Amino acid sequence: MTDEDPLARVALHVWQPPPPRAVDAALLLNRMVTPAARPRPTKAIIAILATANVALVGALLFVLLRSEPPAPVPLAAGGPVVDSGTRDALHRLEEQQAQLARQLADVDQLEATIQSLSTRVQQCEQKTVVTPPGKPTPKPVAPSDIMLEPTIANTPPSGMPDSLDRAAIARTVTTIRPAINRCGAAFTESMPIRVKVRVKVTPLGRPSASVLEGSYDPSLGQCVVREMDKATFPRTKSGGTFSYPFTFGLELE
Amino acid sequence: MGQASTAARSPRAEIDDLTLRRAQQGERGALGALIDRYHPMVHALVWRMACAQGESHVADLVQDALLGVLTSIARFDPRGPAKLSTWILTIATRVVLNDRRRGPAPDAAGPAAFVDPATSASDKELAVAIARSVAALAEPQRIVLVLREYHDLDYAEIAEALDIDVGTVKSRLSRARTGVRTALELSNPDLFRGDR
Repeated sequence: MTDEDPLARVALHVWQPPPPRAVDAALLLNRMVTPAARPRPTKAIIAILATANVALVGALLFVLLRSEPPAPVPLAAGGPVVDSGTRDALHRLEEQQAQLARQLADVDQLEATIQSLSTRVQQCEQKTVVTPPGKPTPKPVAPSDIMLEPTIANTPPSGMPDSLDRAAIARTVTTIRPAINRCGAAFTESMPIRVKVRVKVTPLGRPSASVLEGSYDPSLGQCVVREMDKATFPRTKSGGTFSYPFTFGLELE
Repeated sequence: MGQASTAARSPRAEIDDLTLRRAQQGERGALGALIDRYHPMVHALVWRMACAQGESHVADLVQDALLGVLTSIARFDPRGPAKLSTWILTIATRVVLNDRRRGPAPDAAGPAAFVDPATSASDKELAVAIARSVAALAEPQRIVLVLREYHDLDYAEIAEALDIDVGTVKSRLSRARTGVRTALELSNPDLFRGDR
């Protein structure tokens, strides 16, 4: 063995491989994908594609920015998020709802007032006196049957009273009772006929009557109103308003 | 027997530049010529490195190596330091080494030796002994020995192909030669009788 080449005297090339198998060059060429065979995009094509890409992105951004919806405004903390238009509509609805609530409260108050008045009218009707048959002349009304409205004081002070009282009203109506009896003379019905008038009296004592509850014949009410307007009430400081019932026909009691 | 190993070495003939350029441009005729020219060289390397795994396995590795050459030929620089044959041997070497890293291949028939029918009986015996001695080497030593003795690569080319230092190439080659000689002394003691 030498230090330089231990195999210097060995014919290594007697060890030879067998002839190689035939290689299918066509198969290899079909399997390969060489960079040179692959069409490479030119710089111009790359530039065109990049420009088209930028233009497309710009167009999309333009469309998105133009069609941007109104910014959502939170309706309440923790509540749903709505846009400003919906928020305004909701506020308008809330205002209308509040207005309707106020109107309903007014209606309720009016109903209570009407109910109160109806109760007092019924009390008045229970004390009504009707005339006997054949004489449809209304009987004198007791002072308590005269319904005074709030502006009329029941007890006038000394001197000129502040407003009409029941006694003064009864005295004045007595003066016009014959004329009112004539109004009912034409009606000889077997059923009582009731006419209730509402009279507003000025401080000078001038009355202005109107039918509050009518009879079956409007002419009777018109006659009663006409005669009532001819009456003269005592002067007062503030006048007054009252309602007065007349009943013509049978005496029920 | 007893011929000098350098006497059998032949200079590697490269493909002409025009065919190479056409092959790099993807021309199928030039690529076919490239295969025809370097297929035996690639087969010889793969066979000496992997003949123990059988002919079909060798054929598969040869195809993989040639396919790697075809797909990479466009990147070969003719003005670079490596010759085309060295560059192709580098590809074939890495295909073989990568195949070994994937796992041991089936040992089909053991070390094989092809002997020309015209070869003398003594050379036949020597060829078989060399084949067995080389197959008994560790793979890093075997590949260095094959590239140096059978493909005439110098130290620098082997170092480039294996991506190792030249000093490592020299040490591996020295151990490989010593190992083959030791094996041959055991199997063929008459071969070195005059050296002692």
